[in-house]
Amino acid sequence: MSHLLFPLTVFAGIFVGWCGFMPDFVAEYSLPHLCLYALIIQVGLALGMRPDLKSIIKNFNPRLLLLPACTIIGTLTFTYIAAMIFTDDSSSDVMAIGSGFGYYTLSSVLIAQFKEASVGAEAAASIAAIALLANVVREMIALLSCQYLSKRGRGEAAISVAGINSMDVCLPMIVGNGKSSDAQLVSAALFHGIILEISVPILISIFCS
Amino acid sequence: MFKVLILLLASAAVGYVLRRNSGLRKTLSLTTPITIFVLLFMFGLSIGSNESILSNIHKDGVKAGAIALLGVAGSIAATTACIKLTNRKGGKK
Repeated sequence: MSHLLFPLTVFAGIFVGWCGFMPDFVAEYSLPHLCLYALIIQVGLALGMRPDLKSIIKNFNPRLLLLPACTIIGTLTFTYIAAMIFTDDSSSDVMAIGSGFGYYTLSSVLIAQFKEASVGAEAAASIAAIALLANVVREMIALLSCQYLSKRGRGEAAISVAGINSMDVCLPMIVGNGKSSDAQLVSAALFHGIILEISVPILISIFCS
Repeated sequence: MFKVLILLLASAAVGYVLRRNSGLRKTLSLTTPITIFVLLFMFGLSIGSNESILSNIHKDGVKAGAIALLGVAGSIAATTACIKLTNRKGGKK
């Protein structure tokens, strides 16, 4: 439900802003920044409170790192191709957009905040708007293709396509096909999502700095 | 960068210590979406009040679609290559 409400909230904000209502607290630096830090703290707390976190760490296998590494390297390599196509944007901005891995809520807000100091609020909002759209599209592609890939025995590719959503929204589509590899895929998908969740703010801040 | 990372890891550590606190879990499940709604609404406001972003939305949409598609293609390509490589190595043993 919230996955439908999040884009609707953005559209509501766009509509209100388009109508000319722009309260002072939004223009001020502190409130969006404070909200962002509050969100990061809550994301971290939720990550630490995961009931399966202990078993994921306990059953850690270095091979599990390969999958998030492939997602990060593959996404960033191909995003660099996009940066070469869209030459009017700097390659680091396009890479920052690609670094969302489908995490459109956090990535767009992070980009808007991190870019504001260097390019100004208007340009930062423009880049963040592209990040929001790109990551919403990535989540939509993941929702539509994960089950297809997983059913054809390409569970790892399904996890990789899902990006950050491999540990929540897309998990039922990646597993649950009644295959013997389902248990392995669950831990791989959860680990993949957690590693990407940590990587998103790191990569975005690197590309935005 | 370090501020965000430290904040994330420190709060994850606090979350792990407080993992049995069902009250906090309940509060988080309520406050996290609210924080996201507030942030996204403010983000929407900054887009809606900016005419240049709105006038370029069709161009930015194409760009966003291309970045998303290439990102997905890159993920599939890297994962497929990695699996083929590890399977080949495993087969040699």
